[in-house]
Amino acid sequence: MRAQRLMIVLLVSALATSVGFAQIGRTGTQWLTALGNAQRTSWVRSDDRISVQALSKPGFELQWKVKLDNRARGVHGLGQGVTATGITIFVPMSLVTGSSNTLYGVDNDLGHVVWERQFEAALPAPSADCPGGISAGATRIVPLNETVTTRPGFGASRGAVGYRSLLGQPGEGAPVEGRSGGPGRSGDAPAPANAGRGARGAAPAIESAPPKAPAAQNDQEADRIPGSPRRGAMTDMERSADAAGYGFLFKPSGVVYAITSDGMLHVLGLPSGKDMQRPAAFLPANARWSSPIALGTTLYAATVGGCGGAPHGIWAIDLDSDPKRVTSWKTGGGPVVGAVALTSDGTLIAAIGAGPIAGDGKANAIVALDPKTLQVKDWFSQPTADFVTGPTILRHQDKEIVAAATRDGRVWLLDAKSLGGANHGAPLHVSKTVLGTGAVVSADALASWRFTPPAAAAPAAPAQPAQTTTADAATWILLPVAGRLASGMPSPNGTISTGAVLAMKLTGTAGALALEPGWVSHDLASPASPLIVNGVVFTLATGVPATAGGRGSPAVLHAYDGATGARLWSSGKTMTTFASPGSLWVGYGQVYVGAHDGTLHAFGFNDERRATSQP
Amino acid sequence: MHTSCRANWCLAAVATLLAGAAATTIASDFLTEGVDNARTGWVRDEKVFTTSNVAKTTLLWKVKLESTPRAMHNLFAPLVAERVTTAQGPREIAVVAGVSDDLFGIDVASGTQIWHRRFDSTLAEPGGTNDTLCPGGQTAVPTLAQTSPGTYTIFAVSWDGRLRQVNLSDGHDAAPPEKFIPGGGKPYALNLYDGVIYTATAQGCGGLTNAFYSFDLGSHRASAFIPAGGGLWGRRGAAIDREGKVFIGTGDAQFDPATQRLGNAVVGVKLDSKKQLQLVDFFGAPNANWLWRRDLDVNTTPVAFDAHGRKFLVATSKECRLWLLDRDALGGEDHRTTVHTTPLICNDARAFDARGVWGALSAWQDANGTSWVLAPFWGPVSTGFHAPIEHARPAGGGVAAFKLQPRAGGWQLAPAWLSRDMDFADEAVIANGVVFAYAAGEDASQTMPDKAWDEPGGPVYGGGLSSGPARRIPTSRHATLYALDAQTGKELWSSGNTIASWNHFSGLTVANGRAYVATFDGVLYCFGMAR
Repeated sequence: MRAQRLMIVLLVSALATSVGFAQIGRTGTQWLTALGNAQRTSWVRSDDRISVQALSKPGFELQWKVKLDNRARGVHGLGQGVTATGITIFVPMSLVTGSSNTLYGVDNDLGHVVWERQFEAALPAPSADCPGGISAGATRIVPLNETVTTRPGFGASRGAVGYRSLLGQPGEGAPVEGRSGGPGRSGDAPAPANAGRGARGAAPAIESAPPKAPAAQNDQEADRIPGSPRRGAMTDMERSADAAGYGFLFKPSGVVYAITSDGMLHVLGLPSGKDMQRPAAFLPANARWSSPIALGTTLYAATVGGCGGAPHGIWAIDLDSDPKRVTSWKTGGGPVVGAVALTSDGTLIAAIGAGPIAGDGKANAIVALDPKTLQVKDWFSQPTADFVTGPTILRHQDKEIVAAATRDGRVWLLDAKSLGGANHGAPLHVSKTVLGTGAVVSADALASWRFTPPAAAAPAAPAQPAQTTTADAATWILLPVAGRLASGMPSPNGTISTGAVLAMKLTGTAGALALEPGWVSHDLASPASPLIVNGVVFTLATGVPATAGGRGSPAVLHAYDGATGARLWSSGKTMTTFASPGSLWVGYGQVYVGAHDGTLHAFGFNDERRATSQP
Repeated sequence: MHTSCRANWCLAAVATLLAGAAATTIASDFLTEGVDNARTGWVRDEKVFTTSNVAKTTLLWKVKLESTPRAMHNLFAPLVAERVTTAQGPREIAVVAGVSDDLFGIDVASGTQIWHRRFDSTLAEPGGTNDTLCPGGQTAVPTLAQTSPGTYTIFAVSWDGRLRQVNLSDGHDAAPPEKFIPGGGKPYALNLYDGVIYTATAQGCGGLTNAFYSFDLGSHRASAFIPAGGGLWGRRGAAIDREGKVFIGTGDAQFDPATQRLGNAVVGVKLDSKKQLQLVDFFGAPNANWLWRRDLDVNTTPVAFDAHGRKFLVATSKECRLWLLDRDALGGEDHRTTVHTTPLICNDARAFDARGVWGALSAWQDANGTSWVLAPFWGPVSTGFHAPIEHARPAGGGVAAFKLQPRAGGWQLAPAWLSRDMDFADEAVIANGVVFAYAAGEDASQTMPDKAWDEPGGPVYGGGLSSGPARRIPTSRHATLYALDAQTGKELWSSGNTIASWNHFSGLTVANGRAYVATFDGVLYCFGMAR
């Protein structure tokens, strides 16, 4: 028995040595669903590569681009990707939908298409409102805690003690290092004098144990993929590896959830793109749906536009039942706008646009639904609140706030715990309109983040934001606009004629909130909802043509210091066609843009990905 | 008495060993893995096989050896000496190492086993057999040295880490076992140079720190150099050049010379005057740390060769491109610059398993003085790799051949030919204009593959680590030996379906008109020209 235990320990050690001590690819920024998280803030709090400081220096640039064979439908091409790290242990991946009923698994390091799934279904002719095909991105299971967007890495690894030479005594063999009776690692001396070029300094301290990856901290059931068979007991080796912090090596890579044009939900293996579960009927065929999201064992999506005869509504499917049960709620009024979001207690929040109401239907409203039954728990409604963005849920001071924009360019702030107060019509605050004449909100989602000056930042953040500004702590809401801004808006980055991203600063307390313009981007053609990574705001001028059949303009990605609005970087003329609306995401220190012609671009720091030992 | 014998042996034999080491390049023997110290895989004096007659190769014999497999390991490639003095007269004898601490002496004329040796062990708690990465047992291919005309000593390292010296003619000890490396480790093929045995260890098996090891037969002192990287797991062990520099690649760890960490690098060491290994040079590819993140170890034995007055070293990794290096300055001033880097040969996916170069590189020179480098690889050829002669676009693996050619300001490895498809091409040996290569036929995947819900046995949610033998053995296939025209890569002969089993981390031997492949089921196959 003792020998068996010893062997297991040795095997785990060997695994850790041979595989585990590679810098496992299950680390870095996570973008698990459209707009980044359940709150739909598009905010990645920390990143070990992207920061204001890092982008203040040269090096952020196009890393790769790959032409995917998707066929655009109208202006719609690639969807917003989601990311997964550690696929087959080492591969970071984006899962990207294509409008022509396609899903791609793309290696984030290289742009290599690991797999592609083409789903067979007859597609109706596209129209502006009903493009057909896959109309939104895929999703993975999202934690409610929006902070879980970065996974820990191993950092320094085996070999933290420098190279060294040992000489045994005659007949005694080589000295045994790290074993009883042998010289310990901690006693290592600096490199020998003849250590060669590049050798300098004493060895650093002994390495510490690698941090436990999140998956390794969970038990078998918590790790179980909904709808998958319950796993048997762990083997001795798995248990030992788990105890040593390497149990995640044995765990499956996981799945991604995608809806196809026939309304079926597919549960696809991340390593292969294969259907791991029987595809389940979910939405009406040829519906148009907005960004799905999976939480726990339930996946949600909203249907819009009446496409395929689908009513305006929100749909939920139980991922763990067989067959998978579907629940729905019809608005009975306006369309669901943008993505549904979830509050910290799991309540589903949706924005409802204008439309004729039947019965107790909803329009010009924000609704709160029970996540299990999809019954309306609460709502806010005002006749003038023609919402054109989905809800973004942010935390300001101690309050959870729902933010959404209306067609007239105002941003509404609601108390997530009581959306409209007792009369369902009282917002916490409504901003002035930010739109100039003829301007529109150019995307169906806001973005939000909170800036914390370095001195006030938590000392042990996974990756410290390297801010160079002296700005005060602030909550920011970002609004993409096509057209001119209202007069009186700041213009630190030049005149705005075609569009911009407006950064609004949220101040005050719950009883007296205020949204004031903070900074404005450069002139941007039809900007997408921006995203924020470690204090850097990325804005995408999509260049989507203003009229059907128009040529549009090449997309341009910009990076700004989120606290000051100072531009840090621009992609310039790197991209040659307009972007697919909303096809912007981040993962593993890179920002991805999907263009209308099917070209996927990855921007980031080289980080040795492209180095190939030239000449 | 013992000491006296050892001293006598040292006085008389070390000098002979010096000649013996040199003799590895001139005798009709195959005395060490990779043929010579430099691990070129080039049998310079083969006379029997020719490009004209190799098509007539047949199975001469096969013999089942009583070797017990451990994990996916069993027999290693044999070593062969042509004229060994025995009680029955001179014989051509092969010695085959088995993973369970066995040595087998085989009369290659008849394919009969003439002796079998199983080492005793000082290990108190030998481990199990179910881990492919650390199978336990004897993992290093031994090496042979001619100590006098007709007399050869086998040098081997048993599982307990002791250096064994065994008489090739009868399997008896030529000298008592001596402590060499810590027991329980995973050493790779031994290399004898200038009276010193070299090896390298990997995977931390048995708790060993991954290191170069040397054993000086004269002073009986062992030394270790720990590069602070991952494993040193080139199949042919360390390569040694004519100046006594010892080279091998390292695996998983950061490449950071500033903190003396030489992971994912090519490291060169040499014995100092005290017989202690010291660092002499190193090379880290510009993407070394990315290779680390993707577990794309520098996992193969580099090849040292000289041409046009230059001292070259060719190395590669699981990434599947070749680095042509200058042995006088590995990686140039910054240790990260190659003389030339080839395009990616395979592994477009940069997968850590079942893709890349895992067997061994080889190098040879033709009659026109052209130097060639051969790279057997696993998995599909890269979509971006092309050669002037292509016999296939390999899907399971193949051999890519390169010529050393001048270019502006230096030298390059220019693609010359691409072989037929092979099921995980592992090693190549060049003999008289013929390239012998073999497909290992093993299931080399190390992660659990997905199985869809509607596949037999599905669903299986894959992607997790699954490198053990229980899954891989049933899905492994069979090895195949090929003979190719070294100038063109054209297939001249194949063993077809003759070989029943596959092998893992074994090798290929060619000597005197015979080619040998050993398989997981314990069978040694001998193919050659009927006599």
